[in-house]
Amino acid sequence: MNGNMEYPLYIHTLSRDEAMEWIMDEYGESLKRFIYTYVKNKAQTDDIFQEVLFTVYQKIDTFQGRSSLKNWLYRITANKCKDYLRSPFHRIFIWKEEISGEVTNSTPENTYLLDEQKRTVIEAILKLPIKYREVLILQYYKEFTIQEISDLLKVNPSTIKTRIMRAKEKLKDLLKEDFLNE
Amino acid sequence: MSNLSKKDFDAYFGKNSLYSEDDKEKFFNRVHKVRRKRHVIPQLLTVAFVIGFLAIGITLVKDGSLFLTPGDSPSELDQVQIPNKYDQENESTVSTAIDETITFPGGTIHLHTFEMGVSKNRMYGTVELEDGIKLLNGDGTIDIGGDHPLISLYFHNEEPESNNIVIESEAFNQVPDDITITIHNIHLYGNDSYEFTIDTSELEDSDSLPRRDMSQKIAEIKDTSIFLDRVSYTNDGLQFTIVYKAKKENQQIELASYSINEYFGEESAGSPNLITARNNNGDIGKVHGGSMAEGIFSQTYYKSFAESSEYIDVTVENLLYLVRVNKSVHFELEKK
Repeated sequence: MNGNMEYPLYIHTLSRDEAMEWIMDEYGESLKRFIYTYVKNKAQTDDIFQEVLFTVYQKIDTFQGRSSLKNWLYRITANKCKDYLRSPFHRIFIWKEEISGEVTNSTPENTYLLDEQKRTVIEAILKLPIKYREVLILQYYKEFTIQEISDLLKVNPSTIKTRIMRAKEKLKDLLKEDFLNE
Repeated sequence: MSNLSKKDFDAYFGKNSLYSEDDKEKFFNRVHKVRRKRHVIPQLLTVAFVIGFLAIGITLVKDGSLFLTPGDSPSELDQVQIPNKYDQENESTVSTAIDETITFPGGTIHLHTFEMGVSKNRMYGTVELEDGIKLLNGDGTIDIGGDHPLISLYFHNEEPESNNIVIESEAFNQVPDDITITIHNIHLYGNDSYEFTIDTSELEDSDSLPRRDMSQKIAEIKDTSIFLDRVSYTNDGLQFTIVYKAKKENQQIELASYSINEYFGEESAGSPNLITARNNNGDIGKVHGGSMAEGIFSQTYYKSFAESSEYIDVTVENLLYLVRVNKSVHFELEKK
């Protein structure tokens, strides 16, 4: 979670513009990374992020604090990404590489911070089909609980657990290694 | 797997790699149509406000009145007004007959009906295009006046043989007296094409070979120069990169590096920006991956295909054009 940023009450005391500014400051980077895990393309991440913001702007009055703000934002974002991926203009084949302004993971700092095995696993996760990729991203990266993922994706918890299990199996196939054993 | 954590993903992405103030500026420009000045409130004061407002918020929750009414809060809130006549469940609509025409290079759009709904607005019309030209999609905005944000609209032609179009947008938050529709961009595609040949003997050892910048101009179409910018082996296979460079910035029509489609049989024949790579044996290459951004795209073919080829002829056909329309129509809406 994002520490002390979970203040839906606070959001409701702000004007719409101020609320949007706050949301962008607090969640901008993490939401864009989340979008990137779906589309793996920076230009499309930028576009979808704008669409997410616009939807949030239009619907923020309807946010009633029944779920956390974070869950609400991620739900909107996941839906926008999947709408995009379902659109007829999305290219069917797998995106392998960015051309410009790419999300680079080859800086010396990152190379130092992230061991090679974990990098390989993350890259393999990003190659999984969306329904498996998103549950692993939500669980391991975004640190949502099974119940939260269930609420967010509107899929029952047992299905989420099954998807996570199958996602790991598919990862094993991809990685051909047995370090996934828990 | 159990060791994988948020920290690892963050390290993978790098620090603040995707979000920037440009995103914020772009968003506020969109919703306010004008550049927005940043608030210059000292952080300390902001914290004080937050604490104060939080206390008010908690009080409101205890009162069961979390959702504010004007005057309940020291800060102004935008109010969403949904007219009573809207039936939320049955999606009642209010139609306005219109007669508006927007012309652009290559065609005309005629709009005949604007339908205002609870969850969506729809505008119906027809598109007339020059022979051989097809509509892929378009975008624009609806201005309902005042300080209300612009509403995005988007349309595409699901049935290329039909000239009917439906333009959809998000519903209005309130019923305006009149609206201004602006069509910004349209993507059209026609019969233009270009081709080039890759000599695989120039790409000998794969993994150790650095990328080459060929900067080879292939053609010039719609005032856009086309360059074969790079051909190389990557870990995934043979990759080439195409760069489009328009003669002038924001010229009315130029080639678009968008909706790139690979050949996958006869079904793909009519697709825009259709790329076919055929080698000296007559085999058609299978695409391993690709990417695109504004003015540039790349395509990667399986290495086995490249290795079994002496040369590869690449054809890009049904080229897609970006047409900058930027034309508006204004009309009054029926209220019932």
